[in-house]
Amino acid sequence: MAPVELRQHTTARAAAFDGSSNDQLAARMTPNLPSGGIAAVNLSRQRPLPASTYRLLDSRILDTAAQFLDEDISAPLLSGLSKYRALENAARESLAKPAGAEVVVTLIDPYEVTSTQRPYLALVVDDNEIARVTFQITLVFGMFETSVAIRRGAIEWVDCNACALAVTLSLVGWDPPLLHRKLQLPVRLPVRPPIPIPLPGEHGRSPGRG
Amino acid sequence: MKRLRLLLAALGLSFVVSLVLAPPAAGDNCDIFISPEDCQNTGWTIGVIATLAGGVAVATVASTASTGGSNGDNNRPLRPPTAPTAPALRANVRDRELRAEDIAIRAVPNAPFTAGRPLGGTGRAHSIRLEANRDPGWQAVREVRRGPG
Repeated sequence: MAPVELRQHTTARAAAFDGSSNDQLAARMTPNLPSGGIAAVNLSRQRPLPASTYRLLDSRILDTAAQFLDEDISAPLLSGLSKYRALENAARESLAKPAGAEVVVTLIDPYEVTSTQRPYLALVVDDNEIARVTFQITLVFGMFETSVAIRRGAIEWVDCNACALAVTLSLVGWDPPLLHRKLQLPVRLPVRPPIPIPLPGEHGRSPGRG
Repeated sequence: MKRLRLLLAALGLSFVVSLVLAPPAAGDNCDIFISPEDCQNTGWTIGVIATLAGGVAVATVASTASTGGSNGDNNRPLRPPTAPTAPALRANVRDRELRAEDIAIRAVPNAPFTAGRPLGGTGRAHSIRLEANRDPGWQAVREVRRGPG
């Protein structure tokens, strides 16, 4: 299967797991669950439930957790890139002469962007949360041969011929991860609207638009 | 069963009391049906009273047994309640609360934390600044090389 090209609104599910369904992802996660399951451990303070009930709850938990992979992964990539010092300098330069000026920055050294998110699932009975299951999603982008176009202090385009992506979905406090995938994917990312690069000491700057 | 034994005992007691008190009256002219006045100061009066008292006692015991009364016999099993009691209903609710279908699962996302760092270097980059001049006749492109970013 041809690698997915990373664009805006590309999800981790599409990029790393070929758009697998919730059931398919849950089936991949199940062998990596704790031996006692998820629900049995987190509901231990409640009255014991039948094993079949715990299995059903675990299935629903994994099904819901798979939806955490539907976030747009271009947003954390752009957020991490905007912290690159060379891009900050380029943003200042493009702002100095905004009329028609475009600065293209090519990264010589590889750059790594790491995004960590800890969403959780609340188990609720009659609007009362009785347990909480916390997950961690980690995205690691390795950016090689990367060019970034900046206009009016904002990122307008990102192009990366060799971008490595590692996606990990794990249960906080439990090893191994439930899902893990490494892949190479090209990045052809027009950014609409352009994302302004935060510049230290400059607040309230309006987003640049070409 | 025990109540039946009490009933029989009360009947027997009243009969014995009648017999014990009756002999003093056997030797005089006392006939309770012909001339009751001859039976004054004899055991007949007391015997009749004792018989009536025994009957009352029997009636009382029988009444208590038929209405279920106070449960003085600890060995007798309690009759099952005719309707669910409040504690039983609460137990049922507890069971329902812990069924899988009664537990809703809500996903709560949060904002990611993002960090960036150069790999194996100091973050070198070079940039090219392109200035597009719309004036007809000339264009300018300036390239600026940068050191560590």
